[in-house]
Amino acid sequence: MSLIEGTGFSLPIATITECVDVNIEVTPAARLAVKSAIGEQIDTHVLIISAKAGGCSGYLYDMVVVERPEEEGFQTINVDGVTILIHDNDSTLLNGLKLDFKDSLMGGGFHMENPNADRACGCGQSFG
Amino acid sequence: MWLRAIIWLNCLIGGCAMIPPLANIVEIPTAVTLVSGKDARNHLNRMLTVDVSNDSNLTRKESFICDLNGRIATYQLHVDLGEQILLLHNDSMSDILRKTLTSGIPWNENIEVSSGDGAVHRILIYGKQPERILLGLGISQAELHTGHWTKFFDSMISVIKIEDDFSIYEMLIPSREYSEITDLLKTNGARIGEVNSAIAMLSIAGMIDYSVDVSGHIPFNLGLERLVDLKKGCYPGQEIHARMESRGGIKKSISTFKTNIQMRLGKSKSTNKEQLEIISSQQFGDSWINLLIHPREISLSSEICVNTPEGEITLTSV
Repeated sequence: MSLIEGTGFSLPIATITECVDVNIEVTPAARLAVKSAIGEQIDTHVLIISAKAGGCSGYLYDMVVVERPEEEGFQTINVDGVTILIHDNDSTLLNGLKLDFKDSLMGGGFHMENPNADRACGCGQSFG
Repeated sequence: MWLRAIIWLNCLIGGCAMIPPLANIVEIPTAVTLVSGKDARNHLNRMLTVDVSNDSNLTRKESFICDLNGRIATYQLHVDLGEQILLLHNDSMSDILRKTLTSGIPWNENIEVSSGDGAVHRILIYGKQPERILLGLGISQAELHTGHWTKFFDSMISVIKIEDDFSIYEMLIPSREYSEITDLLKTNGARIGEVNSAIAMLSIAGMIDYSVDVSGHIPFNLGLERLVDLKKGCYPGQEIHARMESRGGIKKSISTFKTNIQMRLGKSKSTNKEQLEIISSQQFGDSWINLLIHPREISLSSEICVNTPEGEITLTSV
């Protein structure tokens, strides 16, 4: 036994998340950049865009290229042969997102414009 | 079973209540939230004002979660248990803490949040010689450290403050052991104290217990900048904290004052028109000990007069 074993602790607290059909816009520059990032693995790999707690403004954007996950609960968006996945849990936070890419040495890279964000931090990685 | 054996032995040797009181024990009401899972630490670290990424097992730490304006939303005490992190906090903050912790969990991370209200009791052991009581339990002061929990059967114990003539220790006890441990402490010379006095005593020692509601305040204004780590990276409110710190925007401070009546919590003005705010007023003997937020530039002379609906009240510096 330990301090937290035994009776008294609840089952994990469940959260009810609203789910909407996600629409996102990917600019031509961003399409090229995503294709370049996935490279030859375009048939097996996908881009997952998600939001996680943290950052200066409450939520952080996250983008990863991974082998298509087995987990359920993703919405699929096809853009020029590239598969983009967004999880149902993030759908209300990311619906309407515009993904852009800026090719510059200072402040270059992917940029998000999120209509659901009341504010964003200076670096653009966090929103709330 | 071992615990019962120690109780029996103590009764036999000490003659129970014959020992004069060496310290007080008091239970401070606490809410308990458990964050578990292999990604629990990362998840917390993205939100807390302190860095927990390298904490080891049994680390004792305090932290805030702030809103986007840098104001305190929750104030919690940590018990690091590896993949499980126990957070103890004021009950009034339970809803917002649990809601914050359960939102924004990434699709590929394993994190669970559970309530443990009532499962763990928190007691303070304080007075002139609490070390003698702890020694009776077989716990040496040398084993105890401020930033670390030490196991005592299924319970945990740590140091809050050690002064020459006064010490404060903190113990977390699972409810199944609570009566046995408190009996053991009483057998060893502890007497039951009062919650008000214990919190007042912490205020006198320059500490703000998490049982005091500090929500809505900026950590710097409470003198709790040690709970803000501006080098750890982004967390909600970090931009505001960094700007305040770098531009000298910390305009308030906190001090402890004594009155002979209980002060009403909230904002008030001194007779010199200075903006003041009382966040805690606790009885301590015949006096009341108050935590007062005041402009930094205010002259902290021995007395401040405050206008209240009850009339002018004099606060004396502690």
